[in-house]
Amino acid sequence: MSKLKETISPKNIEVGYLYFYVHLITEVVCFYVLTKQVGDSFFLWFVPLLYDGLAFVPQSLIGYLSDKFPKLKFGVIGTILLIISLSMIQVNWGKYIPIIILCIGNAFLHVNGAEVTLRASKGKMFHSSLFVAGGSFGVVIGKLLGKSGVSNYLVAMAALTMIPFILLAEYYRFDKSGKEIKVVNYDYHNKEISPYVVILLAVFVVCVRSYMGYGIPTSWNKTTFETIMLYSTMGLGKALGGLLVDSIGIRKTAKLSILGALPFLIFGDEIMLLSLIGVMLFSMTMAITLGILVSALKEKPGLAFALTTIGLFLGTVPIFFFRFSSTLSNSIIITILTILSMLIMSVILRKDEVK
Amino acid sequence: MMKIEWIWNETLFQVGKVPIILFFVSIAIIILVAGYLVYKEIKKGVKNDK
Repeated sequence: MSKLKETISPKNIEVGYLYFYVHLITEVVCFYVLTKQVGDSFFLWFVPLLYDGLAFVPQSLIGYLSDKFPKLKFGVIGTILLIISLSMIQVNWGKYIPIIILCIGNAFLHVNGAEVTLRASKGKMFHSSLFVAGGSFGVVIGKLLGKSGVSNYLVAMAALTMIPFILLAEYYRFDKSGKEIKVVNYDYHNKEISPYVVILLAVFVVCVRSYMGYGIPTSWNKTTFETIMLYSTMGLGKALGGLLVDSIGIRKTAKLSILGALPFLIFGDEIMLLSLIGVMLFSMTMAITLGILVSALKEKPGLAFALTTIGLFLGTVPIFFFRFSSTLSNSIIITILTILSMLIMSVILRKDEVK
Repeated sequence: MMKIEWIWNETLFQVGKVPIILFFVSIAIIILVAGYLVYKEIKKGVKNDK
């Protein structure tokens, strides 16, 4: 019983819930702005590419700076940037500049969330997966608010509510003597392989996951309710992934999520329930790749998290240039990529401890 | 039969080649810098282990 309690409510789990909220509101603001700004066909194509590039890729540099300068309040800087972006839209300051500022703000908030949750969790993945899960719920809420014509002021007020959560979470980043907590107990990668190779392969798996995320056949998704279900399931899967890594081990979670998701994703094209099971299992892989990268780059958790976001961007690039025109060919590609990911995981993951 | 559908031609010309090239070049530079930082960190880690 005490083991179960430790699994579902580990030490410092509060920080995961605090950043669940912060991440949720961050994505609400970002997707509210994006939905409002994507007005014509040109923007429909270019804005998501611009957003993915500028919100994901610079996280590497911001992450490195965050590791170097722990006393700087990156979360607060990110919130201020989001509010500046909303203000620029209010006064019609063009289309590009508010989006660029929005992206940078988003990057600051993501990096800070990763730093705080990874440092506070002492080797557990549930904290950071709770933080990441919040984003999926935020994306769908932001999209709906953007379409509904809610005022910018209201969204800016929601953004401001993040500040007390961010400041409270900062306490978990430092120990009682005021020193930054070291990232310890992350031991997920195979030590017999060069860390360079582990990192390259893990980033490649993130690329594959990101590409597949866009390629999953979901022709059942036609109504607002179904879209809410899809994104909520993604969020649930991400949180569950961290919980499973902590309870049954990273290797077993990898097998379950990668191989288990495949049939559900392929045969769930027109059946919502099957598809949602597949999406949930598939989303669990987030915790695995993050765990591997943090394990390989222990001293720099901000940089390690940012590598996953570079992978996410690289994985989305192809979808802006081409797509496979039939469900069958898409399913073949998904199957090949899944098997490849599983092979890579079986090489770079350490063996689970026998308990 | 595998059929690839190219979807970027029309919009690429609307955005213009120069902004797209600039965008990808700046992204590539950031990725290269990130790669160097990772290289530096791992090298430092290996030294500390010794």
